[in-house]
Amino acid sequence: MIVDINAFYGNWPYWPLRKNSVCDMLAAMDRYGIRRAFLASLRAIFTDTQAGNAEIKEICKEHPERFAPAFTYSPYAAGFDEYQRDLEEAGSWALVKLYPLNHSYDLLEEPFISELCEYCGTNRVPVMIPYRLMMSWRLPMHPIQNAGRLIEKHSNTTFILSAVNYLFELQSALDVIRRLPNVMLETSGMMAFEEVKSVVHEIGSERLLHGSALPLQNPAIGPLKIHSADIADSDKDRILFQNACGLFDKSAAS
Amino acid sequence: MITDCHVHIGKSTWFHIDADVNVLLRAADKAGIDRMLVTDFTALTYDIDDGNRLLLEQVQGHRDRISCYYTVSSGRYGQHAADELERYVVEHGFCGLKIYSVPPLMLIDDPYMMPIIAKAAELQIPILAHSTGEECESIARQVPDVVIINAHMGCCPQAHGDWHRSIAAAKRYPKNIYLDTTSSSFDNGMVELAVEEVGAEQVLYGSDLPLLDPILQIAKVTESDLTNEQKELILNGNINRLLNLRKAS
Repeated sequence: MIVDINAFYGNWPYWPLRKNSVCDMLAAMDRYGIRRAFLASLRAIFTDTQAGNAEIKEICKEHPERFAPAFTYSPYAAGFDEYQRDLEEAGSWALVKLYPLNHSYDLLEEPFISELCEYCGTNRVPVMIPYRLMMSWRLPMHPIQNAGRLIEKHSNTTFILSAVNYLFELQSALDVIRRLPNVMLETSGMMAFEEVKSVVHEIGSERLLHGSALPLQNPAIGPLKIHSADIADSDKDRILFQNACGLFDKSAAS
Repeated sequence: MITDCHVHIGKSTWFHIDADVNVLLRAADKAGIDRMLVTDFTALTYDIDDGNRLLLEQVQGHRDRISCYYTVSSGRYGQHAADELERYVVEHGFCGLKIYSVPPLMLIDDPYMMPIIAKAAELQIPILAHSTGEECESIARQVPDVVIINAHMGCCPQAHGDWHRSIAAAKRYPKNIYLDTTSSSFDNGMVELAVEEVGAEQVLYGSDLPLLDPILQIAKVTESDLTNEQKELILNGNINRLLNLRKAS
């Protein structure tokens, strides 16, 4: 069983995406053993947050065992005031994603972001902050230090740093994770030689969550980088599903 | 059989790397790589004479698994580098040239680099060029017999991750420009589009070991929607063909 904490639905403005229908995504998930994926709407990130979140809700309603919602909110987009209703309706398998670079705001300057993070802490909804949309040298990167400062202000909320590649990016992320116990790291951006092994050694497998960036990235790679890492099977299980189950559904983690 | 056209050896302060031949062979064995084409970090980033000599020393006893690129850090070494390239190829069996673009100061189509590139074309060896597709095109225009492998096929900071431009460059220069699949990017459909646009014959597997994970880089090819014949060309057949250009001459 594999849980995918970082999948997407929709179109990609930079080139035509392949195999991005729900049907295609289910087929890819079946092929690579992904039981359930958290879907974020690309429409919500790029053009219409409210409509994007609505389409994600529809897909999750049709496939409740396979998809869970990753809602995107911006203080400047319609629908931001609906977050409580969205998250209550979604139940325990839901998370929030923040895309300040795409939505033109500063994580640290917006009262709404503080309010949202407080709500998520109280209601045990994890908040994901991507370093970039996916691992690509053409996409802008959000400074992890900014994320660290937001996380420091919300110690009851679980944050997930996402799409972090290697070298200085990873060092910044690990620094935040070592300092702050309420942070986890998602694996879709990790491509370096022996990176998973090294990160497990540094912070422990308890702080990692598997992500594929399906359908933006080749869906084979996310699970393979965990399966092929020189780490214990128990570590692999934690990264691939147990940690996620612990975050969203305590009864399923054992 | 798998031949990896893009591997590094040695030490790099920037990449926090210290990888000797044993590190490479262990990783290759685990990933199922039979042969590696290797370039030395010292030659790439500090001293071409010291680095290429180090490479030659390190691969002794492993030439059945490791072939060598002569590596230059800058075109400003001019004729000295061209002469040394010839010596390493003729006397020591080096199989290619590795060059690296550092925009905006040192591009690989720098006029000073041209004698080195012309020498590689004369020797009929491939050039592994960490650069943009546009720079590869510029070289192909200036040196019509050149064989240039566009490292990372645009998926590097220098080329802003734009693999579409590299594919377009390879399409415009089918006899000159080849695409190396290694990179931190695993964009869905990238390898498939390259094959659709230029044919599998112009695409080569590389890993960038010890920076990137060769198991994932191999999966980028094997888990793409290509035929087995196309995958075989990318993983081994095409680089064999390029390396045989010199032997056949």
